[in-house]
Amino acid sequence: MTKKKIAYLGISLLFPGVANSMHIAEGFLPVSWCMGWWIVYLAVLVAGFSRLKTTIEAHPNAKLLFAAVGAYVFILSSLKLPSIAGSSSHLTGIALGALLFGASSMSVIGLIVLLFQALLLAHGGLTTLGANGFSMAVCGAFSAVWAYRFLKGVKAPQWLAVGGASFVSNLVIYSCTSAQLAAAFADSTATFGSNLIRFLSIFVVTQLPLAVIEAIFTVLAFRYIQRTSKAEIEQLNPNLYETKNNHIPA
Amino acid sequence: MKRKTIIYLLSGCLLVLLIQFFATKLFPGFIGADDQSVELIKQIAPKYQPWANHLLEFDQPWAEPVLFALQAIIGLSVISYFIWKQSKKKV
Repeated sequence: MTKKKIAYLGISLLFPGVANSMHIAEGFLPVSWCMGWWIVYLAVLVAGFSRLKTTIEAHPNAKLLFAAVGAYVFILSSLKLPSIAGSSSHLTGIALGALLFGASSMSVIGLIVLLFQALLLAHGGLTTLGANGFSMAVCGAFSAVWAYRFLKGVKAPQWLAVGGASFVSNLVIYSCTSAQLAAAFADSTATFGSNLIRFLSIFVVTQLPLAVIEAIFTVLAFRYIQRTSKAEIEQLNPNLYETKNNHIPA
Repeated sequence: MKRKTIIYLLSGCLLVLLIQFFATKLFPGFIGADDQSVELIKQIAPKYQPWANHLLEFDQPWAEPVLFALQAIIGLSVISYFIWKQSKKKV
């Protein structure tokens, strides 16, 4: 291993803190909402499995790359970083895999990570996994792909498009969680709008600097993968090597 | 796998464990955004009772950072293997 490669590994370990729960805690979402989010997430999960199976069958060499982007999510979501206003939160790492393998494929990674945390770490939860999976692995992944498309569309350089996609993805995940909680606890005294502002003021303010850090990590990881796995990327998504953006998997 | 790679991997794992432990001591007052959201739910809906509990919970204070470090180490191991395979491919 060269010093540069060790640096890539080490850089993701520079700022960790104590990890805590991810998104919505077990039992903290009414039953009807839990079921609703599970149904929506399962639908995307079926599509994600199907897409991933097709991709891996067509490009068996990409298996290890998929494992690596999954591991990237595993590492980043395990780190809880201190942020502004005395609060702390997580990175997610969803954008990298979404750009390489397509957004729906990340629902599979999301399931693995959230199941691991719910079962072994008592964080998040099985009842809220549908809602958490939808915000992290569906909204986060699709927003990353759309942000990348937009930035490439306005002729942004690739590092900016990748970093921007990661930044947007991170903020969208926590905005989605805020909206899920705001909707679940809206009633005559606490409207959806007022709840949303209160939840956003917790999540998004904390998340802003962390989203910048995640964007830096994602750009570094993407550049490394681009340099070392050119053949796999050219098979999966050749336009990630081109300046014009005709096709990004979604 | 080369001996040097194994040493790097083990050092990385040890580093993750150490940093997780020290971070607990360095930022004790930092409240998780998720915990803040639970508090906010209690304010918005004071009568709401969580209807499910975790299947597995550890009471020991050291269990949480260790388990999250385990998660990071699993990820780190896969990435190390990926990097090792990529470096082997180029040779």
